[in-house]
Amino acid sequence: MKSKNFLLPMMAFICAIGMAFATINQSSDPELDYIVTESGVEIVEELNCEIGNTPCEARITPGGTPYPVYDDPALMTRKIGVGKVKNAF
Amino acid sequence: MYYGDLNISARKDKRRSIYLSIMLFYFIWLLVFSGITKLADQSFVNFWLNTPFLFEKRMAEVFAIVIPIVELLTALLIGLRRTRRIGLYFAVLIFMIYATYSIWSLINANGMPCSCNGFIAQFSWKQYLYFNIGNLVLARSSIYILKKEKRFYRDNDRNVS
Repeated sequence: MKSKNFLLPMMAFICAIGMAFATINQSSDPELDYIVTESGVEIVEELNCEIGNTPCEARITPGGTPYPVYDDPALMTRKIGVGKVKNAF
Repeated sequence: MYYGDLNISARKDKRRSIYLSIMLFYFIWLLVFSGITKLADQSFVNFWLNTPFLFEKRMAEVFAIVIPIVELLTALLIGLRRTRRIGLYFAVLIFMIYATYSIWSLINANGMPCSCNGFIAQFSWKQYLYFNIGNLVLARSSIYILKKEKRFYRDNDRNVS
């Protein structure tokens, strides 16, 4: 009974805290997005790509080419959205 | 003297106790894991910014803090013996809200912009819905077992005295 009231919850807490910190993805930037163009990476304010499963794309000039948008400065995580091309100018 | 009924009762109680121990460990682990990953992952604010419900940044920031704190508090309530039942009721409520949100997302969203971390991040909305329904059933069954266990100990105490 004692194990259920003290040891077990403690073990669950420790186990969960350890696992949580081991799996956190801290790379994504909540403030900015990163657009990869031919001339380099354009840093823009967070875009709202809406809910979806299609990679988000954005234009940096009116009528220009759409470029892929990334969530992290390491350009590892593509931003996901509904597939609409967003304007980032 | 016949001890058959007593043995069956003791065996049942042992099984109930093991089941409850596993469930308590699982719920505390799940809620703490979920709460901490949400608190530590800065992109969780993005998730709320991208949902159709809330567009204001301040509101998204509030949600991004309140939800993981509620999860952590629920885990704490489950961990403490006196508040265990209330904690499990809170867990049922949380999983009901998550399941409802999964249904809404299945109907309205095209895909999976998951705010989840760890193994849950691999889930689709449908899998996430089944996962929440499963948790809901487990939490409800834990409340039932907890009630039975309390009754068993109360009856035993009465028999001894």
